[in-house]
Amino acid sequence: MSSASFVALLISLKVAFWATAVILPPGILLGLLLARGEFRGKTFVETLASLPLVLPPTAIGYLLLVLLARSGPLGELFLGFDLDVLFTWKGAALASSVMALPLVARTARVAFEEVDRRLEGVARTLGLGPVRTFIEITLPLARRGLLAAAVLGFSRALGEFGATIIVAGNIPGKTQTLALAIFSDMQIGHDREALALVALTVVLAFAAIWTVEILLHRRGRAS
Amino acid sequence: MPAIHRLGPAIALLTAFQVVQAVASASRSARPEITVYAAASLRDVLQQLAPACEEAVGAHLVFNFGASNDLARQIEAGNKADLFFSADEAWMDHVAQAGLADAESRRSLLSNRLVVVGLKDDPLNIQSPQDLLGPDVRRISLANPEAVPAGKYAKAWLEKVGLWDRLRDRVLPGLDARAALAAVESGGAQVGVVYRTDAVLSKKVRVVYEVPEGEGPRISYPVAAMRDRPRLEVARRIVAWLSGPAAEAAFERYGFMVQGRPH
Repeated sequence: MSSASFVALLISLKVAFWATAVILPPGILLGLLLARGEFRGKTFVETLASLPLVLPPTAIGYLLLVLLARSGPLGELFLGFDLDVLFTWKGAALASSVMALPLVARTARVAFEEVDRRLEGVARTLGLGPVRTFIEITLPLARRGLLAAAVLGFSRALGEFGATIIVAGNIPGKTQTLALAIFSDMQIGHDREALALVALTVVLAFAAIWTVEILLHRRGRAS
Repeated sequence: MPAIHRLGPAIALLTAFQVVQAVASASRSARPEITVYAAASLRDVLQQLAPACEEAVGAHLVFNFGASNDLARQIEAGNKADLFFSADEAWMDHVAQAGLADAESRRSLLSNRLVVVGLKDDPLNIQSPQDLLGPDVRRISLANPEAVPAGKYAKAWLEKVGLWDRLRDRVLPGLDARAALAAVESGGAQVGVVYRTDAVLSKKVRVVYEVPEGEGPRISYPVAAMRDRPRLEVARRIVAWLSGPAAEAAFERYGFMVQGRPH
């Protein structure tokens, strides 16, 4: 692997890791809310959370760009300081995390829905408070599904392209992930490098999806 | 929670990566990092000049190559460039109007020429622009003629020779100057109108027609440091170095014409 490809791989892993780290807490919370909550506007929240799945990534990217641009509502001129997100690797992580949200929330929701609520009820009647019940009973029971949510979110982040190129640009060594590097190599006719990167992404995606399958399959057998 | 423990290896990997990055950046910490946004057609020559420039100015250069229109929009939105090297004056004007360009350092440094290219083994015969109307030329690759400088220049030339309206349906727009060339290399278009400097770097294409000087538009590459950036002085020194004799020789070797007049 050329050093440029290796750098793109490292940037991809870093971006996907942070995208997952950023989106996992709200994604899990949202999954819990959708699995357990009964409230007005639930369908609206469900729909809103799924939008990144179907909207063009360029639409999400452009929205983020407008928000974060110098003159935008989260921009330097408005806030008085620079969040330093646009055209940095942090922008790539942010864009990828938004794109990963639906997968994380949906998988987490299923994970919570499959937890046997009678076990929680038993814990409560034995005197465990609601927070401790959640931490000691619900989370461990849902862990495989939640882990699958994290791996799926990570894989989605790893493959993100459309929103990332808008929010983070395509700067080699800084924001150029594997997906962007494939695009650049293709654009300038470096076919061999592009194909090598494609092979690399196939291996990564295969490993990730395989992991998810194992996680979800074993849970199915255990219950 | 067990799930957290399983993230251990990932966290370890990330930590290792941060350390490697920190060490790498510490090893050149004496040199300020200067981010250069430059037109795609400058990729090879600037990468070749970078080590000498870094040595002379005492900076570490990070490049972002792309279509000048993309770069200008990125500068306007994010203001992350220390130096902008545009392939046309209009996009530098755009950045200047946004109040982001350092007027003092701006100069129109380079010029270039347009050529028509085809695949090396394709027996195309283009003696004059009118030959582009021939049936063999099904698609003409240009950088996007509405925004990308290389495409705007190509369109301006075709308009000047009165062919644009008849050829516009054959145009295959590319993201930047290099992409327009790659579309010819991959066989997506029979011909491309590209910069001469890009054409000579490609092993797969040959120049089938050179646009004579008076026939095409005047091509001008302006460069400027960006204002309101912490290392404005270093960026100004880089502009000055790029205008100096060492850089001039390299630009000419790559086929650019050095204008060298202050803006």
